[in-house]
Amino acid sequence: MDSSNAITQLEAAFAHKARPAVTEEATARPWVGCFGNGIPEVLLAAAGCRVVDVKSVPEPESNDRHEGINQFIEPFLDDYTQLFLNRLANGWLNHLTAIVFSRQDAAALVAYQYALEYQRQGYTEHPFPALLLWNAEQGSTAAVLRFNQHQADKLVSQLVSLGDRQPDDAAIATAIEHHRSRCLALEELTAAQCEQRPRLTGLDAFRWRNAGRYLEAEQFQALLRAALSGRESKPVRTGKRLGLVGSATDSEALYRVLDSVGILVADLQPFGRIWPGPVEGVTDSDSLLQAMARDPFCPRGHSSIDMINALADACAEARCDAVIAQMDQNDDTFGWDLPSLQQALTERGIPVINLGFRDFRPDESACTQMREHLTLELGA
Amino acid sequence: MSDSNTTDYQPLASARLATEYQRDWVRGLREQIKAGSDFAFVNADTPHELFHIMGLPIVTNQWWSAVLSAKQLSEYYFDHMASLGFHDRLAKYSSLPLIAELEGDRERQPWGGLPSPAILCARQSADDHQRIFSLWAKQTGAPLFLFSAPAVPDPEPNWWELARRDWETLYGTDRLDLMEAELYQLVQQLERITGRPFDAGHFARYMDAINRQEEIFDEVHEMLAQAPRCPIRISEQIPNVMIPQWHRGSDWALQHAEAFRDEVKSRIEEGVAVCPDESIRMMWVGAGLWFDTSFYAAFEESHSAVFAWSMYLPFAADGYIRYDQGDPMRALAARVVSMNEQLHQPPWVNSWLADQARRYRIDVALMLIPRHDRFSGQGSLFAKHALEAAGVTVIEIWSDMVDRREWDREAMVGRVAAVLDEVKAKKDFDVVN
Repeated sequence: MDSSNAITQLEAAFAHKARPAVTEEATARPWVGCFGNGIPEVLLAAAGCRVVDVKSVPEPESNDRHEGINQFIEPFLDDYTQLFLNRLANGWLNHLTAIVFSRQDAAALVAYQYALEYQRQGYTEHPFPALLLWNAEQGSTAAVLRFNQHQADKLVSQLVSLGDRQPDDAAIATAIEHHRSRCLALEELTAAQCEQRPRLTGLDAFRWRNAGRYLEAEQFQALLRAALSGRESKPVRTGKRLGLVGSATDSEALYRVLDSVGILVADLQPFGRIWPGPVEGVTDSDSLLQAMARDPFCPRGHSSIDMINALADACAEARCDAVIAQMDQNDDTFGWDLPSLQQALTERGIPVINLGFRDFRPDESACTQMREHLTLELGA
Repeated sequence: MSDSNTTDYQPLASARLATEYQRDWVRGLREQIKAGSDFAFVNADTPHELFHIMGLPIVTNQWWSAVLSAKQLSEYYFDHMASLGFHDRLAKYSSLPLIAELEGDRERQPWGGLPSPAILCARQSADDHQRIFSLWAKQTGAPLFLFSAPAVPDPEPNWWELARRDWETLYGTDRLDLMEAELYQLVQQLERITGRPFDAGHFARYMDAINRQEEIFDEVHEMLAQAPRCPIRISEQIPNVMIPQWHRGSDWALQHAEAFRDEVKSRIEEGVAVCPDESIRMMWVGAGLWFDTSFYAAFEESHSAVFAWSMYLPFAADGYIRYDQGDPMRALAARVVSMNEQLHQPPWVNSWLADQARRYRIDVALMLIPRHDRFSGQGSLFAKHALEAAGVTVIEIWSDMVDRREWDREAMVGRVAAVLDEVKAKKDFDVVN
């Protein structure tokens, strides 16, 4: 496949986000939205679902407020929760058969709870997609693994009741292979992003990576590999090597700012990671659930100190010159990690530049301020 | 925590006794610790029962936070929090004790502060709990026992009607299985710390005693809901309920609950009222306003308006009574598995508050909504609408339970007074017509 053609397809998929569902021809398959990392997409795929992300917000849908649901939304809710609820109430997600919410994602859980209650009270103007909770826990004890297995059985049973097929071993094996293939392609992207002589911009890598959230795994890995194969034709980028940590962000404006002051070589915010979770050692549904329950980057893991060390190690492996920290306006978790992360990075010889709170969609003035701040700090 | 603008209101003897007991208990604990005893530092929504039964004293995070705030130390610690690099929008209620610990000057803390605990315990009900307790563990070297907190996929609105006996249906077998297994894991860890074996028979009797204590609180709750006029202030309800809750199931806690009940009963029988001409009944929704508890009496003289309800007493019954159905450990799992969620998650919080407002004949609700404590603030607007649908006037108070920096008492009194004027005028009009 031609590299430029692959890039065009990846960027189109990312730009349309969950919307290609209404234009794609294969309507026979049920479309299922996923909110948050950590959802066992293998099981959804094996049940015949076409999986798309619903957390990242398409630009045209980021300002459509719904009066009814907004009367229940406190301003301190996560931006992704607020926008999702508005999109749901506005009917922008009506093409989905179901939406699966990850317990591991704080924004997703609250979105699930509010959507469910709004629906229970009879406010909905149109039927919502089925609202399903992926309620898995982190840990390695037998009790946690039993619990997660039960959640997997329950999720499959809910999908089957919605008309999906009961996944058999062969379907699961095929889905795992596709999942692994996608993860390996994403690892290649991560490696390309942090290579000695990087050629990708942070924005390119961000778009290509997350385009996979709206494409079939097999199709995506082929497109991504084709896109990567052409990167040698791009000029080598020079400048300070940067890491990005903090709250989840899908702001392209933020990536443009980072690209203007350095080279993003380690994107470690939730939209910069390989999703939905680890793939190493996964051969069947049991090992899949075990691997997902031991995700070192999971924000609900049993030790934030372990997660902080995993982030600091990843920055060191990518040979970052500096790490940029940023938080959404209502952050209530990363702020606890930041001083320890700062210490862990300092011990590895990497300074941290804290951008502080940023808007969901920073405007031009905010971008200018961020750029000036970073330029000053980096000496770029 | 004293009231200032009182006239002839007579404080409850039981409230003073509870406060004195807790102060003496903390002093005694310090002496025990100096002599080499261990203690545990735990979150409010963890199974205190297991620590009690294993003979390991506990200090509760949220209680210690309220004490630090009541001693007017929160501003100092929150300034220190900023100097450590933590931003100002992080939750304060659950973290104030951590900041005091990181600050390190124990003499600044009440009663000489707390030494390092033998174990820390939290439940991952809110996403920041693991982080706060991980930092504490890192600081002190104490082991952290962290309970899983899977969400509730299909919450029944009328949880309080099911929770006492039909908890298996309400909370779900899978969640209870996980919670019960983790309770046994904690038991094993406590056996190692204390060197004592777990006694299942003793535990079953102890769980019965807790149910008895909560049944007494349920009696008080019913009496207060039905009393023609409110006989006690909520600032006295709270220590009379929460201090025994921190010692739940002990002989002292049961005796104190009975003494509290008897004192309330006498007051009702004697026709005692906080406001003899009570005309407006209010509820305080949310955690206590720990740095300014005298606010609860601010409208008695001006408007004959009394706070008749705070969550602590009714929740003692609805949140704690779990009949064991032959399995005390599983009953404990049922008590703990959604303890905090019942107070914050829709539809649980909105349904419960609306029901409570009807039972207490509430006219006005003051709803504390902390901007920077998302878990505590979530569900507030669903609750507001439910209360309004039940005929209650709701005043939103966007503030924090331990951070007084956001609190302007004079402005708040003015704001509430204006609403009370309207409510009183409407009630007077309704009476005339």
